[in-house]
Amino acid sequence: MWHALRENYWAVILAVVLHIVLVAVLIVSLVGTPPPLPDGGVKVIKAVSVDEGQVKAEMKKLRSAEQRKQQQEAERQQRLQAEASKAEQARKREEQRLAELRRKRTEEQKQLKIQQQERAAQAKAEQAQQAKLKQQQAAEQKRLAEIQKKNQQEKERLAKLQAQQQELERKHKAELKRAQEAEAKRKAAELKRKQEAEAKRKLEAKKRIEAARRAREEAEAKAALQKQMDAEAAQMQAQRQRQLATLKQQYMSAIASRVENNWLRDPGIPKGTTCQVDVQQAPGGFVISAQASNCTGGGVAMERSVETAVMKSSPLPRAPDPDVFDREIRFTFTVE
Amino acid sequence: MLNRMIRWIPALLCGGLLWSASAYAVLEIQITQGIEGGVPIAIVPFKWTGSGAPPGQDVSAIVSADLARTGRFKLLASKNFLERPHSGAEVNFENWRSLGVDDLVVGQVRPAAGGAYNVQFQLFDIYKAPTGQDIGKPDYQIKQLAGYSVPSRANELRRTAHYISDIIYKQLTGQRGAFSTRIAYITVTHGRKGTLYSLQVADADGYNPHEVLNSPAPIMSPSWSPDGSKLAYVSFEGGRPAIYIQDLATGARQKVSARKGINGAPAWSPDGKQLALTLSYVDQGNPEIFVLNLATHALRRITYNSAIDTEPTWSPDGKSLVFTSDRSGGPQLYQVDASGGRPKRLTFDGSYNARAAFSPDGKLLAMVHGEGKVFKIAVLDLKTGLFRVLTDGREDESPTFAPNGSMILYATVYKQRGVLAAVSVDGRVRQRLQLRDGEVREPAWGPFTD
Amino acid sequence: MSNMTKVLMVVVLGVFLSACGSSGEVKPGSGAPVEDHSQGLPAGGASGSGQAGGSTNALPGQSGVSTDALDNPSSPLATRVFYFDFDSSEVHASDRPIIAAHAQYLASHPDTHVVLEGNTDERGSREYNIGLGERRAEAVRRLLLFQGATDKQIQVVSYGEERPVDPGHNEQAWAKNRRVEIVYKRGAQ
Repeated sequence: MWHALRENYWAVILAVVLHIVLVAVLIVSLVGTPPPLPDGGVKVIKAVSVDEGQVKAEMKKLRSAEQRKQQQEAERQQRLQAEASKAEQARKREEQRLAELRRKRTEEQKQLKIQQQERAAQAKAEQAQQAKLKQQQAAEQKRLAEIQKKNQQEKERLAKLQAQQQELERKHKAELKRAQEAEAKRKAAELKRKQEAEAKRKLEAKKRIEAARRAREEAEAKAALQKQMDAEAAQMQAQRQRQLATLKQQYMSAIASRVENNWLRDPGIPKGTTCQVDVQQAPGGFVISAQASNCTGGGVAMERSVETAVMKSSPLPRAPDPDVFDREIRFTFTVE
Repeated sequence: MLNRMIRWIPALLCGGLLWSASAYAVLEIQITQGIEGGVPIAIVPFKWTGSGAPPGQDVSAIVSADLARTGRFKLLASKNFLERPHSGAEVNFENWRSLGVDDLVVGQVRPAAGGAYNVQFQLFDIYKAPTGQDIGKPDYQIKQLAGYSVPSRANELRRTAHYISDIIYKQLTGQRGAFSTRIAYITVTHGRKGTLYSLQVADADGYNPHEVLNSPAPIMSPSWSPDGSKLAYVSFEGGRPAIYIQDLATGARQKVSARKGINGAPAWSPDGKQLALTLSYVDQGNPEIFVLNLATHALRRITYNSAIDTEPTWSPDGKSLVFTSDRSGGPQLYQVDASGGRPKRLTFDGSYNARAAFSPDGKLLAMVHGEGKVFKIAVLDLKTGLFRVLTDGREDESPTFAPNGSMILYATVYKQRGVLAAVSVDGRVRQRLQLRDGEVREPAWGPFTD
Repeated sequence: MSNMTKVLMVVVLGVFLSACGSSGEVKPGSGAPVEDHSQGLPAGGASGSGQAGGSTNALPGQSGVSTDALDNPSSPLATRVFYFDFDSSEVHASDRPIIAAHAQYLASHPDTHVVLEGNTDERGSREYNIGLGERRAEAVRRLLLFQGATDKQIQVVSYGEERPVDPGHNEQAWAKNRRVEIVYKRGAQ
């Protein structure tokens, strides 16, 4: 409460002052001269002839009005004065309360000083006590030192024994530690491996899902692209197909020529013998695998000759256009 | 799923810009040309790892000669080698690839206890591509087709070399090699004491000959028993022909036929129990085919014709005999059931076809084929009737198939002297065999003996 | 020949050269006894033809029987070799009178035996040539029988191409080798 008041102390004063100023302003504005006419804003009143009676009545009316007005004003002044004295009273009460508060605070500070002095005295007494204790401790330490001195030899002997013991223990522990470490390592490695395998599995699963998603997206994208194609595109495509067909033909005969040059076959293989070779190539034409199958004769000699012919031709001629390239090639070898 | 497929079909049919022909079709390429020839192979001379002098027999040289003789391999001359590795780990395959060889053999001969040897060798396919199981393996392990360590007694290095040749041949051709088999033949030498005939048995390459019999009178027509343990032959000892069977291991022999007139052309049946032969004691000296039961000595007559019927040979299934007969005027080949019956003529090409030899698979018949006054070896394909002349000599005779059917050994005349030669069944490769001096004739290629 | 000698000396099976007799000596690898299951004519029923070489020395060392026509070089009997055409067993017409003379001699000397040795040139297959040599000898035998000789007096053996007179590989040699020889075994049996 004290704290709140102290914080609002000046606000209260300000509020009172503000009220006084406001009242004063109000009084001045009511009593003062009427506001001046604006410059150049002279209002020309056209003279109009009126009769006297009428004017007198009018004047009388105006005067009574004036009187009523003055009376109202006087009443209002009275009201204001009453309010002002009320405010004055409130202010005085407030001041009294504040003075009371100040008095109380001074009283409290006096109390505090007394307490501090008491505490200082107490501290002095404690210090004396502590000094005394210190002296006792010193004496005790001296005694202990003597005991320690006496025990020193015993301790050294024990220390020696302990050192030996510790050495043994240390060695034992080191061994144990090594074994534990090895075990831990092994376990860690196994764990790691398992974790890695698991991680790999998860990654692969993720990859698969991702690949599937991509494939789906790709497919959808392509389907969309497909839809966009109009007749013009179709025509372009036909042209492109014709071009690709030519390129493909060139590509295939380049491969055939190369492989034929590398096909060294046993003359004992009968004419008409055929063999199929399925080949996988990398984009650079490098042959990854060549597998003979469905041979109609010639045995191992035929199979080896056709597989070797392809392997020897690696890298195969490059595709003239990426679109005629194919990872898989199926050769049919025929002895003629 | 089906919906998705249906959505895809137009894309497949039309082929989008990004989906041109390449996406689904496999490229299909026809190969018909190519080059006929032997498989190019390099055999690096095997390293002798012992401290003393190397063994007298050069194993890698014997293997090289064996493979070259078949005509199915082209051996790279060692002067062209870029390196001389002796084990797989030492091989740089790029070097061999650049030399154009398909296969490579490396090896070493190590000394073993008691003067014996250990021959190690590895065969590589230079072009063998790694498969899924090969990940992480060194190149030489991926490309190795065979690798063996063969123990060999001191005097058996040639045999070991032939054994290695057999392994390599089997790996590279799929067929059993016949390098470890033996051949029998007759030699004739003329000296101060007159003419000496000798029956000999040697390795298939003509090395390592052993004499089985010698005589101042003619020896003829050696024929192997199917198990390779005995030889039947004709000997004129005593001035008259008789047929003997001689055990090669013990030397013991039996006279199985010494009838009046001809006792000739013995031919062992595939089951080893019978001997087909030519006898002329019947019908006033007319040669006919008979079959002699070796256990009972019972004789069964097969042919009845006033012409010369001789040179019987068994089909590999033992069910029929093919023989030479001039019943049509000149000698031609006829086939008859082994139990007898009406013979059927097989040859119609030319005026002279005689002395048939069946290929081991029974599909081919090799023979002496006369063209005017020259005689060559020809082969008749019994299934297709295709007739091919394989040799270009003037006096070629006595064809005999290798037990694996890959080659035909025959007798020919070279520089006025009878020698043996081998021809591949396709007739492409002919090679004379290395033999000693004197006339050599009537080769008979022995069977597989294991 | 020295190589051959070496071979003979080292032959695993052990071969011993024995003294030459009138019959050809044979050295089977083992020297093992020969079992005879042949059921044919007794071995040794014929002998002595092993060393026959050419046409003019058919009976070496048989001199001393000066009264016999066989020993008269101007007699038709001095001709004992008959030649044939390639792959043929037809006796030349010019040889028929000579063969007839031999037949008459045999007819008048029933104790005399002959061996007819049939031979061919080297061309063609060996066993077929044995057959061909046999047939040539048979052709001569039939003529001898027809003209008075008896079956018992005549033996036939075919050597085919195994015993050429001329080892050459040409027409002249072949012509000499396509032949039948009459070998007399006078009083041998």
